[in-house]
Amino acid sequence: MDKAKYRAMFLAEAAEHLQAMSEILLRLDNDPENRQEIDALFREAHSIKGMAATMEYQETARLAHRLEDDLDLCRKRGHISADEIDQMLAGVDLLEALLEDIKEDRPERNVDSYLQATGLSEQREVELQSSKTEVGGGLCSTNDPQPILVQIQLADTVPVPAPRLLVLLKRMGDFGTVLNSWPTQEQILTDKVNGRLLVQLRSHQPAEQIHAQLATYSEVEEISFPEHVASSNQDRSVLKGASVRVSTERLDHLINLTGELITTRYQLQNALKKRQWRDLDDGVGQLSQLVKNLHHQVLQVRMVSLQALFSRLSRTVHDLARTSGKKIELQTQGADIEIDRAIVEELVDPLTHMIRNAVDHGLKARESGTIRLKAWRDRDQVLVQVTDDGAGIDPEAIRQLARQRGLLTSSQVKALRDYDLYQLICQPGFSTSQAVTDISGRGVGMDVVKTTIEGIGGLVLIDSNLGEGTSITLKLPLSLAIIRVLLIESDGARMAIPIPRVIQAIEVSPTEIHSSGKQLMVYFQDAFIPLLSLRKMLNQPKKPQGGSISLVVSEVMGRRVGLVVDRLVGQQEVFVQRLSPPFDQIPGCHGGTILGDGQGIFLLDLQSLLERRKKAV
Amino acid sequence: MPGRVLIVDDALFMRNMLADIFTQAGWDVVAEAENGEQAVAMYRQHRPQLVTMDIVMPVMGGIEALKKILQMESEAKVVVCSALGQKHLILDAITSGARDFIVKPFQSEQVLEVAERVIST
Amino acid sequence: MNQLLPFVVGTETYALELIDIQEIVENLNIYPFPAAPEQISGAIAFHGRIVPVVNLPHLLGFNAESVCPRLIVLANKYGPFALAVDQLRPLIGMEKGFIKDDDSTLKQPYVRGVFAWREEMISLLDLKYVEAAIETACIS
Repeated sequence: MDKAKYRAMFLAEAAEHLQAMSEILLRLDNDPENRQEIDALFREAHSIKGMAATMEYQETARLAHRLEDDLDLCRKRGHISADEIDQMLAGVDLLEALLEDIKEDRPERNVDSYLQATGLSEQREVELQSSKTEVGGGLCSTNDPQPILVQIQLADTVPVPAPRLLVLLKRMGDFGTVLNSWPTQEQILTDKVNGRLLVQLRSHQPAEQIHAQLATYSEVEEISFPEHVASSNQDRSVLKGASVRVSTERLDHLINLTGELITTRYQLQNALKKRQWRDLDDGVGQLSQLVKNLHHQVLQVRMVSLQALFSRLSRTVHDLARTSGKKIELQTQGADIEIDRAIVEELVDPLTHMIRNAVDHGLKARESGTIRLKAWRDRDQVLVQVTDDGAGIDPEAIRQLARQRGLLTSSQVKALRDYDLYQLICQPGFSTSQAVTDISGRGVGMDVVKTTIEGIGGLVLIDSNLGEGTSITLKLPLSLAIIRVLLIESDGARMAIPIPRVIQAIEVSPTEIHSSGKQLMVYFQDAFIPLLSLRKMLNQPKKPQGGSISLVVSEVMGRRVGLVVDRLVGQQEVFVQRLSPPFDQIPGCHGGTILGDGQGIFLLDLQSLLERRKKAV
Repeated sequence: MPGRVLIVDDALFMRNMLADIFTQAGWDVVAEAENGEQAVAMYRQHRPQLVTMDIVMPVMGGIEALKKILQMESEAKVVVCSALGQKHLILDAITSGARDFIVKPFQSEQVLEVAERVIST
Repeated sequence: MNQLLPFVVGTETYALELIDIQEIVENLNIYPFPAAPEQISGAIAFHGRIVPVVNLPHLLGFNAESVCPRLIVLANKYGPFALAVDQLRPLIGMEKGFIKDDDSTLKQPYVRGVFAWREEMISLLDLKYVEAAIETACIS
């Protein structure tokens, strides 16, 4: 076979599979019992193995085969542990390195050390055997003793725990084979320890004997043998915590900043000692700059590019094209835009859904079409847009349905601009409607998309031109933890609204208020929007009349509304704390934050507030 | 059962103190060395059951001496002694094959606990 | 020996085990939630964290008008959240097994057991019940 001819194709496709693997692994980290994901992961590994074997890339095939075997065991067991995920990620990294070797025309690196170091299959087999023994009674040979867990807790008073743990870990090796340890030797060497060591050990020595030998270390406060491998999960999580992968470049940035902070500290101390106020002033200025920078860099650690997500979506389009028999071109732009890892994870389902909708419905009657996936940054927001050049949404069909279903009155329908009409398709009542699905080709599941995006403080905007296509834009905060908010006041209480939810904050004079029946309206941009009183929504007393009226224009349940507040206070960046369950279920509240002056405030969730009012009525 | 020990430290005070601790507990202090080079030579000559090795020493440091001794005798039992702040050196030494470590300042019980455990395994 | 913190809610004296309590705070500013059920007073800024405050008299069905200024911040395993109570009493120590055989017909559902202390009956509050009641309040 002429390998060179296929090499580029192999590399591109294998890279896609690897992207998908790491994505799935990251998701499994939160949902380790998701069988579908484990199945999908297994299939990815299987695909890589098959391709690599065909291309006679031996090391790549061996490694992929190993991952496939390990995943097969996870599949049978129905879950994957956090450590297995880490080992899998390491395997994916190694596969990436192998692809790099192939790309650079180097001989593939040897994967023996990974295969030996992980020992996953071997160890898992033992686990499976032991479960068999329990069920069937002595089915397996007992040549190899079952692995046991040994946990050691050092006394708090041990001055340098890392070397002590290293000695103990090596000592464990004298008792038998150390299959795993938490922390690992590497972690101990880099001082990532907390006085505890958990070792998975295969030993011929009875536990009492191991206990007796470990007891000769006066630094050891407690020795225990946690029962089953499965029950060790809790201990593992204690030792491990959630982890993120950080590029060394970013770590270097952080280290450099810390270095500068130390220098600044000395400058400040010096200036203070000598009472040189000017130097002190300079130092404080420098310090605030550094702290700002440090804060930025720490946030960066959580940022990932949309690359992986986009390549996954390319895969979706690819598959959809194959199953539908359409010729679909996907254009992507802005895959290098970075956003908080947690947000990327939330985006997978909505975007997949939007793309599926675009193909299934937007391009329904077409042989071919183009889908554009575009991301860009606008100050502290990230926008992600899916556009198709399909049939578009017919506004008249929506008008008709809105009337039929009693969602809007005839006069409301007339007053609504086409643009505002499109937003209606995200309403649950609309989206489940088969009729609309057929006419507009959009509704299904858009309510779910909207709920997910709004749940992370974002906004869904739909625009369409009949016969030209549809575009759906997601407006997202850069980071879930730190967001910009608009502070407002209502009956003396301050509250915050996430900026991505704010279309505009304006002051209007009472003469600009119109009424339509009981409903007060105001003309905003090129349409009338209804006014809602925040005081009324919060059951607060009415505000005495007078002066100009402060409005926050936002979009709630698919419609633009003007929220009447007492006062617009200003914008600020805040660190959002989610409320612990069950308090996170309280309607009207997205979480809270503590302002610089120590004041606690809450993030308003207009959507759930309105839903609650509807329920009450 | 106490055995034969070689004490390596560049400070006379430390050597004397360690020698006292070991002698009083019934150990046989076969030799003392004040740098790594001497330590390797003395080990070759006396083949002690235990070596206590300071890490930071002139001429040849403790880790290098440890490696040379292990090349000579892979089962050699070397315990390193180091100050509290030299955690990385201790980790290095253990990775290089030291059996255990003692942190200065130490108490005699700690020294004897480590020494007795190391020669009995 | 079990260390207990007795406190007064309405007309009754209750107690919690000290092990379940993180801190006692008084006169902290309580920031009201935008739209919360009346059992949830709001939240305090407690060591840099937003900690919800539950009005215990309300939760237990007392028609208390009073603003309870004393807050018992529960241990982290409870979220944490704080319980607002009417009055605090000095700590008491009880021997293990201080709760007599519980006469389930007598006690309220939110009480784990009742014991006597200096001619007074004190009810040991059942935090599991409290948590469940909060959940009901938050969801409805």
